[in-house]
Amino acid sequence: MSKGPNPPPNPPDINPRDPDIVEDPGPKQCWTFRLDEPTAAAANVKAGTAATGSIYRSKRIMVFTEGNALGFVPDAEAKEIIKSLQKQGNRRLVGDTLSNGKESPHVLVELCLN
Amino acid sequence: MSNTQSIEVQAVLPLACPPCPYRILGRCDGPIDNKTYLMQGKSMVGCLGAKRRGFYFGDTHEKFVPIPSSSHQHRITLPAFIPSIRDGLRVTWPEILPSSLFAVSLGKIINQSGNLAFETIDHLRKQFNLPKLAKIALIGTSKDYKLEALWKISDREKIWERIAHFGFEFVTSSTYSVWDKHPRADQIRNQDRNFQTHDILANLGAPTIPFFFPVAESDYRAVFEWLQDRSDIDKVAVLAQFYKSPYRFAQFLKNMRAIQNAAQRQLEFLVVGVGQKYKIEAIRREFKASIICSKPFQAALAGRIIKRNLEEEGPNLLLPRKDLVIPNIEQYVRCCERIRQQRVSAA
Repeated sequence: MSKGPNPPPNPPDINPRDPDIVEDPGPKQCWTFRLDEPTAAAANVKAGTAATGSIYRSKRIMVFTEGNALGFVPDAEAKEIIKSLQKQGNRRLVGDTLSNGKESPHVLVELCLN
Repeated sequence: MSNTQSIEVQAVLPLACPPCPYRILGRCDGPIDNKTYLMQGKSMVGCLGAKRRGFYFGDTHEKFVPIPSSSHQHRITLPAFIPSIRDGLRVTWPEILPSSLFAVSLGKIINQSGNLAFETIDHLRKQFNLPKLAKIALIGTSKDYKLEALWKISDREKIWERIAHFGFEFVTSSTYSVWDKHPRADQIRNQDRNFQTHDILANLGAPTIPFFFPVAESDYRAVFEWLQDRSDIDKVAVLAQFYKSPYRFAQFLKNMRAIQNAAQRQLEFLVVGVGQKYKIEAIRREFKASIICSKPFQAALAGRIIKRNLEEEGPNLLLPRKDLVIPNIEQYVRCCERIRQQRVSAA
């Protein structure tokens, strides 16, 4: 049920969303956890790499570094993070990896709401 | 093996490999073909660059959007036919309107930079010369460049909030384009953006109908899973506009059946962009459906009158074009109601 076989000629450029203005971001909250269901990319990640969290379908939180999905936030922490996001929805999850993937693919990650 | 073949064989691997977010989420079984897989450009996410793919995945999913407790669809009653209004003709509407509800496309209410061109529904009614009592629904269709512009400023300009509080009878989700010959990453991202705009608008209290554009089998599974989390939804929208030929239309019906099956509940379809009688009959034979099209306006713009069988006649040189809109709408309303009644009688 696509719109059709081919996109029209000269399709527009895509752009990310401009950030919205958050008047009161509230206190910084952080969670430290070991990755669930680590991917092959997790084995190559180094400690201190910038990480982000993406929330898929309002349920699962996926951890990314440099565009690669590393794995998921464990369910218990994901529930806590989502609970906090429900109160302060406009915040984003950013943080770092705290361990090397070579030691264990279940990399230690810290994600904060900011 | 030639160099090209080597590239193709190697190129298949990244999307199918474990770090691809769509694959991990069960939304992707890998590339559909090498051509779409290798497509790159500023107009797409593409499948080749992990960084770009991850960046746009983040852009789409970094904000938490709760699953709405309701899509408020109990407040929506779909008539057999909803005329899509267009500008270009200054229609003088009678006291008793030819339709209980009018539809306007998202593209008509946003400007080139994606911002709303109207601030209130009264302002919009004035643009179309509609009386105060006219009810208007917003259909999330638009040219891609406007949808992309809207996406960029949507948070900053609080576009979804303003749409939700505009006073529309109901709204649909957006219709970010899903094309057959597009990279899989873009197909999935645009489906996700359409899902997400439904949730945003429903969370803001607007009665909302989601648009579905599943392509691959995993997309139908995703529709099913998405609907499972939103048990109150029984109205969904589909776009028929690009299914013109009989062969394509047969495919459209097949796709509707697949969505109905995936839903595992009785759905009422809002079918946008279908104007021919045999197509409306074919849809109504199988599905509970409401039809939206702008043909009554388009025909009037060309000076043509719609006949009982919904064929066009003319040009009619005796009547001003603006005076053809109302009889054209009336033909559609009567015809769609007749078809609906026939189905009810048959049932």
